[in-house]
Amino acid sequence: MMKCAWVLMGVAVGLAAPSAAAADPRDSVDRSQRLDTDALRDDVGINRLQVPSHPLVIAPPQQPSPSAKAGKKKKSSASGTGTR
Amino acid sequence: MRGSIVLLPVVGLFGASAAWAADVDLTELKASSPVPYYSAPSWSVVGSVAPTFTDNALFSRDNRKSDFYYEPDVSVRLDGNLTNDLSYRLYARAQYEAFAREKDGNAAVARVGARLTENWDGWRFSAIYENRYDFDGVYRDLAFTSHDVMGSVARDFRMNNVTLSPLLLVTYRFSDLAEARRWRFDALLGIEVKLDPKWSIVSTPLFEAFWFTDGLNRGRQDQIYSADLGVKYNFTSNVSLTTSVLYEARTSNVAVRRYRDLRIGPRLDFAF
Repeated sequence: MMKCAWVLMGVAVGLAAPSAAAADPRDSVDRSQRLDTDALRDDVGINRLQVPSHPLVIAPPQQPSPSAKAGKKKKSSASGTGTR
Repeated sequence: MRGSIVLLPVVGLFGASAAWAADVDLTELKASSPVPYYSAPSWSVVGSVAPTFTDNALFSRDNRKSDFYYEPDVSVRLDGNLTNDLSYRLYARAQYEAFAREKDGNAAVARVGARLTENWDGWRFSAIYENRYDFDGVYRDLAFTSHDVMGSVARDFRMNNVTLSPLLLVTYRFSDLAEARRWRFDALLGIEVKLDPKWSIVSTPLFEAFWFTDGLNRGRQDQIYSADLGVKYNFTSNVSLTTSVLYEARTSNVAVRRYRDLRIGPRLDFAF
């Protein structure tokens, strides 16, 4: 019975050890460091390419030109007189 | 046109998050894609995909394990000009490393950022802010979040068939994880020797220095020396394949953090 408990305890410690090692925050920082260095190299590779340009097309607010406004006014006044 | 309409909500979403990341651009305002300041901003999707062999998957000084890993790195960018010389970039970037056997080496990062670049007599001065989320595993557990503040200087020198692209970069990282807070200095030189319109020899010697300021890493100082040599093939002007051999060594005043690493593999770069 005692022997069995020791075996179970050993298994538990064995399982916990790798996860404890993986939880060292310095290891996360090291992995991040490698990603950053690789990103820098990726930037160099990408910047050797010609990047196509895709202009964003944002529709400007519709503002009628003064001449169109004047024409419209004329038209509306003309139609107004017509209906009267 | 339809793509632009689809992108707008995405850009709006990132803008609302108040978090914008920065990537470093060696050839901002390239002749290939000038953005006149009076024109609309333009968007692009750029990235790299690299299956790589490494002889030190866990950056270990003593426990060296070789493995293959897969590393995609993709960005969505919005570029525009504020004046003739002042340009901006907003971007979102996702990158991860997935190892075939050594799963403890898996890591991922998501970044959003903003960059302002002043073009002065051929020199490009950039100020960058980046908000980043670092994960253990491939977007499995959030390890820490950071705010990187960077400044860089870069320029291109073209002589016949040779292009030299030096870059100096200084970063301070603010982070919710004390061990991640640090100063970083980068100096690199992009070298490209064109053999013909399709083939080039490329290399990017690189030096990095890190000064950690807090937590268990307080007082730690690392230096990374790296050199590579590769052959690049241009499928088109915006897609290329580079196969290279890279050697990297890290020295540190914390002995256990020293390592050396040899990597070999192809990398596909694309810009759409």
